[in-house]
Amino acid sequence: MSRILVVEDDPAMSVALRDGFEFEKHDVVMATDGEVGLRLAMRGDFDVVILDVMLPKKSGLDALTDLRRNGMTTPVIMLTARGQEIDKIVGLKLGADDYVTKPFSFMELLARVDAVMRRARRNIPED
Amino acid sequence: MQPKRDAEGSRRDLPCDDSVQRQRLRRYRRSIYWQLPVICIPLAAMLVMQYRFLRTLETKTASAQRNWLRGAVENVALEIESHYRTAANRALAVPMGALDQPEMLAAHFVANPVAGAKTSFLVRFREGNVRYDLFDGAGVPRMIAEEEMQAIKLASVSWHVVHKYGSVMSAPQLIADERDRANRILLRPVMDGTMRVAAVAGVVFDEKATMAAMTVLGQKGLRARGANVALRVGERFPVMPRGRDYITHSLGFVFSDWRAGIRDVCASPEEMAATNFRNNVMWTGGAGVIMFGAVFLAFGATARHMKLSQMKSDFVSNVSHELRTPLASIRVFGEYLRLGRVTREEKVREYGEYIEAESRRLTQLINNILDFSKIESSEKKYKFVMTDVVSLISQTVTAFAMPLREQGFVVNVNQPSGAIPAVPVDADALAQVVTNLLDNAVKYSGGAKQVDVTIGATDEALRVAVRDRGIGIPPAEQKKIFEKFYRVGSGLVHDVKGSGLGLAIVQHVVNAHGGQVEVESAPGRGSTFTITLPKTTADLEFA
Repeated sequence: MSRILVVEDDPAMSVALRDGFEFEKHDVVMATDGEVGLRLAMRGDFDVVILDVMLPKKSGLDALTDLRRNGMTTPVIMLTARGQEIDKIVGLKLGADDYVTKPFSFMELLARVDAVMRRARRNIPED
Repeated sequence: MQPKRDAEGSRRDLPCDDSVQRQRLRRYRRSIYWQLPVICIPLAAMLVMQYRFLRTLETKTASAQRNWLRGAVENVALEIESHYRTAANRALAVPMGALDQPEMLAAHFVANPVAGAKTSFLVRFREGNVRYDLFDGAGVPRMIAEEEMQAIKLASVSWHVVHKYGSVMSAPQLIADERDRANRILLRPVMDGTMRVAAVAGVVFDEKATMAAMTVLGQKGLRARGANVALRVGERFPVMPRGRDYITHSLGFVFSDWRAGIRDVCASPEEMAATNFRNNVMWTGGAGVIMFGAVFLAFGATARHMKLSQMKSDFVSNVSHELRTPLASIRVFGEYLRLGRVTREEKVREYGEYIEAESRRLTQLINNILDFSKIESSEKKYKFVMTDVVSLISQTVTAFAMPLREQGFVVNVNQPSGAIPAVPVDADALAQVVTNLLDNAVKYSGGAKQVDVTIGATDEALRVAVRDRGIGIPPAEQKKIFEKFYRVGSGLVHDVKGSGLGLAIVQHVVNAHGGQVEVESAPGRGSTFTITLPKTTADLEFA
């Protein structure tokens, strides 16, 4: 159905997210560090990016900043174990469309992915 | 583009939740930047003002001093001149009766000495003849050198002419003839009854003797005035250091190219000012150095404090991340199982393994944190029990390595050939040590996929070595890694996960067992951590 990019370095969580989204019949592409994640996201053919904050090589926030600076409007949902308000505010201000703290319920994440994609479709007319 | 980062590596373009303490420390550190100029500027200003004041003082005193010296040396020169005039006039006023009586002449000369003269002479003109009478200081007739004779003849030749012409002279004058510098002459014509020149009397000076005589004269006069100066008479004066030069005055009479010079013997005002200023600079410099030292020490202390504070804050945020991450995957897998989404056998097994591994990871972290807090509050106690260490380590390694096999990771255990007797250890603590070392080995393995554990023994001790082929540790950091919260930096803080407590705990445990832990490593060549545990109970810290 939709193309989802998951940028997450923890192996267990990676597997969980991949299996979860594939069960929902999405096309999933995985990346395990910020640099590869940014490169893939810049290709522009994803409907949503699930982006962890703590990543090797380039942090999630840096990758998000670069992505937005280059004019990519792909919806991004940030995932992180840092749950303080300030982290959420920072992430959202830098251009994330939503912010989910770990541990989370996968069904909740799924619902947010749908909501974010719905918002994106509202703003850009479908061709 | 990289975001701006401050000295501690924290992002500066994001709002940050610094602790109040860290802000305070940062403010203090910044305040040092204006404290330094506040210390330096008054000190510098003080030195400059003092310097200028001393220069003015020294100039005024020095010129007053010089005026006085100038006056004094002029007086000395005049005294010398007048003394010589008087002495010469007395000596050369030869009585007429002595003109042709050498003994009388000699006696006259002896009675009227001129200090510094080597020869007294009379050149007698008589009926076209010239007779020379030459005497030394004791009145004894003297043989003199050719040059001296020439000088005397030269000096007297014009008087011979005057005598021939029979001119009348009113008053005889004292004349100095210095054409031969080595034989300077003072002479005076001697008149006969008719006021005509009958002879010429004179003295020839010995340079050294005259110099000495004049000096003595001058000194007598100066001492009479109570002046504390050094006197020197002569042609040339040596160059003296600042403020101590000779003030000179020409003698002006005979030895007209000579000068009398006096200089101050005590420290000149310039010297005193310079010494004073030098002392001040030294003491001020010393004080300044001490103050800078104190400021830098304080600077260093704050920097260290801030670093520790930063490390603690990083620790807290890292630990919360490290605790939440395994829980997150456990929760999601649990959710899948509850929702019935997992139907395939291998998937059930896979998720089960992940849940187990993540739980173990969480347990280890929690143990590390709890141990660490007990260690910090000195509550940690070890229970030593005779244990088969080899099997304990193998079991720990096996449990640790199982989930890693999925990723192609291999952990080898090399057991010793002979049997190793039981050794008193705290089994839980030792298992934790091994787990922490393995955890580090895996974490810093980079691309390598192999870790080796070697168990060995010597007579007194048991050795366990954990070796990885990963990124290695630079020598500068090999001591620091055992510090609490410390993690080897690799540019991005987020690259390195973990609490920074593992090795601190390893060290504490191993030390409590009476042993030690060592690291051998080089960047890019992996690391080997070796713990040594004594076999006996002699050095153990019991609870």
